[in-house]
Amino acid sequence: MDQPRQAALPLAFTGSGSEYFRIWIVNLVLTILTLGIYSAWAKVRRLKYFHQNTRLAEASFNYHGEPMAILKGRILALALLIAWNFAPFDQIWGLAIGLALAAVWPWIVVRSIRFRRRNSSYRNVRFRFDGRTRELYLPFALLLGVFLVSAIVFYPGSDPEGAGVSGAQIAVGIIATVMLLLIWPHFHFMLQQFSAAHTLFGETRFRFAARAWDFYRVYLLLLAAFAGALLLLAVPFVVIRETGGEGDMATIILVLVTGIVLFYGLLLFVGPYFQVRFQNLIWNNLSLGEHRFESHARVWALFRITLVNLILIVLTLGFYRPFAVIRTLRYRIEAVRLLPAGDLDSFVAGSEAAVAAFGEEAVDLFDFDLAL
Amino acid sequence: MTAGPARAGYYDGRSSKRHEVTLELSGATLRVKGHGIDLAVPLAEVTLEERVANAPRLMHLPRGALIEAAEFAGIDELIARGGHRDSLVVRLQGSWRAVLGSMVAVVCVGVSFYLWGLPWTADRITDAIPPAWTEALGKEAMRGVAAPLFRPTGLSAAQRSQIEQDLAAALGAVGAPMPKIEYRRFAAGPNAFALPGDTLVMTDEMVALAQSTRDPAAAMLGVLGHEYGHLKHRHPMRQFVRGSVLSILIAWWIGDVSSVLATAAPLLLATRYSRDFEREADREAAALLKSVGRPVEPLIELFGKLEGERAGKGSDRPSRFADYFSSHPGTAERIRILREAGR
Repeated sequence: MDQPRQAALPLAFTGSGSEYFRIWIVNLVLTILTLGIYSAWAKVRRLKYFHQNTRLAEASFNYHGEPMAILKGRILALALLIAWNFAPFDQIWGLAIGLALAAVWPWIVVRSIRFRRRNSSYRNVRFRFDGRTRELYLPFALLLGVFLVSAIVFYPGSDPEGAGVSGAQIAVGIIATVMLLLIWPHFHFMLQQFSAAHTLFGETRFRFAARAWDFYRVYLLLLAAFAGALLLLAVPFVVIRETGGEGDMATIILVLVTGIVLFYGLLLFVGPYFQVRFQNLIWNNLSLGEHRFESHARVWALFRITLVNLILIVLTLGFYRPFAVIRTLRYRIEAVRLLPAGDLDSFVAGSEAAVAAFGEEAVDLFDFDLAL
Repeated sequence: MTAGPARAGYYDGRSSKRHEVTLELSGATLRVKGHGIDLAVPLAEVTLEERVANAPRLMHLPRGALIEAAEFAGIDELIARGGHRDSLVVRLQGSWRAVLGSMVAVVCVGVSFYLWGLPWTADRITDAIPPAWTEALGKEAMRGVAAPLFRPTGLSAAQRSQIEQDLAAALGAVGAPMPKIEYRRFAAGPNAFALPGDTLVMTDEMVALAQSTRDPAAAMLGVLGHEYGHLKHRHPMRQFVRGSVLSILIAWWIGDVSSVLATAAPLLLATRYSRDFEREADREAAALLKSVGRPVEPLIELFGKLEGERAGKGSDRPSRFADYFSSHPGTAERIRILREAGR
């Protein structure tokens, strides 16, 4: 090892709940007053606040998204959403819009990542993204195909007369569903690798060393947790069935409520588990040139934060949310450290033309976030 | 006018190197001095980024250079001279009066939308929903009317046809279409409800309770008239759409903190709409009874028995707690509505 010894550099987050609350409430009122148009400006102000309050080695990050670009993206995405909502009215239209959406989806994903990277900077050097849409077509087509097969077989409307699904149909459906479960972690891994390994800071490329198996492991534990939760939920129904539904109403309600509370308790745990495990997995396998990263977030700590946030959000009828966002962000950001292999001075800025915001907005609206 | 010197970071935009510099404002010029750096930039060429709370101020210089200054007394001077006034939004964010005003505005808009805006919007959406969707939803709801809580009816064919004849006669008198009726035995006690479309569900337990009143036929017609009122005004579908819109808004408002909250809060809030629908259905029931010259008293007696039935089951506590978020108005109010409408 001929690298000079360097102290780990922690990411610091200097945002505060009361500051962000003021930004949030003003954003909210202006968005309501302008019937949503201001939301693009609100988004820029929010992200600028988050970026500029994230610090590493005495310097802050910055966000450069143009509100007009975001607004255009939001309008286009809204148009797509409306078109999609008319799909069930007419089969031909539904099929056409479905196929069109499937065809442009990989493009939307790439645009989304590119817009976010291109508009983030650190020390006056922009991030960049050079992933190509064509790399995503095959994985997306595979996933969509398997998903459609399993959805068509098990969609309740596919059996309107209640005549029963044939054995062959069930077999195809089960195989497709199992395949979907088998493919998904690999798909997630592929997407993460695609998004990380095509990202550059200036002219320096990020590398992503995780393997697909690492993602499978996280999902397998998640699956086990879900199986456990479903078993817990099944208990009350078995109890009701055993008592022949003749049992005393209070008991039935008690059993049902207990089951549901247990199930939701577990669901509440699954969120932080998922966030922490993937955050650690991704950052611990990420490197930038010779520099490496380290994330040591803990599921239990984030669970406690989530629980307290939840209670306070209920007690304040939602007005605690900006404080909750800051608390969660601080924990997640400050769990990350940079392990420098030298100084951070020698990254060279690259150049790339500006990109439109459409992709990111479409992804936002269709609720498909590729959190990194 | 002079200000500074103050320490700052200088980034030339070509590399990530941080240069330690000092800033000094003299006249209309910003002096940037550091190791190997000595710039004199006219204030007119300095672009000050909008203030982001207490984060360091960012100043863009010509040729893509950037200055990051944690504290610099000259900033105010720069603002004053270069015409870099804080934007309206930033000034609003900095004013507690504006922030409090915003909070009040958000609460007012939220409450009035809940009371008037949402019902109106959701009803327009309901009007636009094609009948085929309503039918599909009704079928889906029928699947829910199944074991373990629901069992096949124990009513005889004669009992059922008597119920239907009475209803058909009353509806015929007011020229209304006859709904489909599904009969079930229900583990949770007497109940009846309307589904999206034109189906209503009657439980054996409710029929038995009606039998125990002084005028079973009128009580039964009252219950059916109530459910018919729900169908006539498309209450199940409207409640469904209002609930859906409420769910979307609540999910947006609270964010993704909890699926429990995102599920429970809309359910509780939607009970208000449900109580309005119950009042309307009660008025329909009274009107139907009146139109065939039947009294409302048997239905009132039935409501009383229903309340007794529910209070008697289990301990008192859960039922009293449930009253606060009940889907139905209190029995006293319902009786008053029936008396007024049946007069």
